[in-house]
Amino acid sequence: MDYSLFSALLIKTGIVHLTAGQVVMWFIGFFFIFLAIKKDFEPLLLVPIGFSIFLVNMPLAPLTGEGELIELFFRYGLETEIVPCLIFLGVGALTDFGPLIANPKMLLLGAAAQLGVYIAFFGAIFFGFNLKEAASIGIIGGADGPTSIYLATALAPHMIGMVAVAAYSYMSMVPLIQPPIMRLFTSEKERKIRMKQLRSVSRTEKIIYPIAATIIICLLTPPAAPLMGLFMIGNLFRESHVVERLLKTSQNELLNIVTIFLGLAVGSTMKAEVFLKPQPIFIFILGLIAFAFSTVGGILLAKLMNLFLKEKINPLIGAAGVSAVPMAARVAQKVGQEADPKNHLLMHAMGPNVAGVIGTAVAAGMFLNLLK
Amino acid sequence: MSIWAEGARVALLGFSVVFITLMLLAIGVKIMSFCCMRLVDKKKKGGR
Repeated sequence: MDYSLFSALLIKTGIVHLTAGQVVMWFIGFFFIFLAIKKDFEPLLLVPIGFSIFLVNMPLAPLTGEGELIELFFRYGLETEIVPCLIFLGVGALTDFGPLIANPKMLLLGAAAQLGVYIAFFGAIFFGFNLKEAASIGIIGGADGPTSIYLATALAPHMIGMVAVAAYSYMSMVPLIQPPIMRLFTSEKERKIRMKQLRSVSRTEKIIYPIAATIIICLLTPPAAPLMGLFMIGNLFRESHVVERLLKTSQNELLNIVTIFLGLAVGSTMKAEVFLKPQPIFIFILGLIAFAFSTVGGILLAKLMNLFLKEKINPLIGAAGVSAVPMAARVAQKVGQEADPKNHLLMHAMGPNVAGVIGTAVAAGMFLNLLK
Repeated sequence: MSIWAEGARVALLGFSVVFITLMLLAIGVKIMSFCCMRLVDKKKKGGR
């Protein structure tokens, strides 16, 4: 038997090049796929991310080298920042700003819920991250996946994978993380507060809103323009009622296509040599801190506003100021109904919820403005 | 400038701008709604 031919063949296979780190990454990839399929945690993202982790940790596979398949997804999708912005287009096309227009005070709750972003920012500096890395970690507290990816791409591209996975993991765990914090910071009496039914919003208001919001946000925070611009044009597609085809494409086909590219590109950053370091553990801890403080920030501002308002706000809806749409609003409704089963907070919570999306994008824009 | 001082500057500016932007947006929405409602009222009156 020709052993030299056999060994030459063997060396061309991935088997002899497989490292323990890569096998560990396979298990992490399997774990994400398990979470998505079995626990229904953000399946649209965790399935492609999980599989991509598995793929890019195959030894010798021509996937992440220059000009290779997944590297191209990463280069043209993420590095150019196209994918997060297109996701915002789709999200805008799915968003109803009606509750926010009916009660614009809710925008302030979306601002307060950015508290965790800055707490985690300082936490990251404490753990030895530089300012750009700290900003990319802090933004996880906004609970907005595309914005986190957008900022990490611009400021700390080596951390995209970790930041994205932390952001999407916490977003999917909103129903587990937020309720204990909400109960801790509110009294039974506050949780029972019933809010007046929202007025109906006219079509004209809904059409003017994305245009007015774009003007205000882009003038004050120009770096947020790519995200906010596409978010608002998506919303204008929805509210104008004259571009049904564009609306359907933005909400379905385009959003689905870019989600696949996003998942594959994000997973490709999680190679064993990059991921298996102490850094991701710190990022996950800081992400959780960010998320918790963002929840607290929204609740506390709602309580503060109640000192001055004639018509009281149920402080639970402040927790929905973290972006995770519509999960955070649903959680506010659920915790509210535990105290009073006839209390319907969902529509009220949608206001701070979409305000949180805007708040996180503005916070990211400011980080870009000051640090890029 | 130390990293902490620079961090504090970034956080303070950032958080302030987030609040100011969303507050201005809230005021803008209030004005827009007011104008729209006035317009609807005028149209209704004109219709009569």
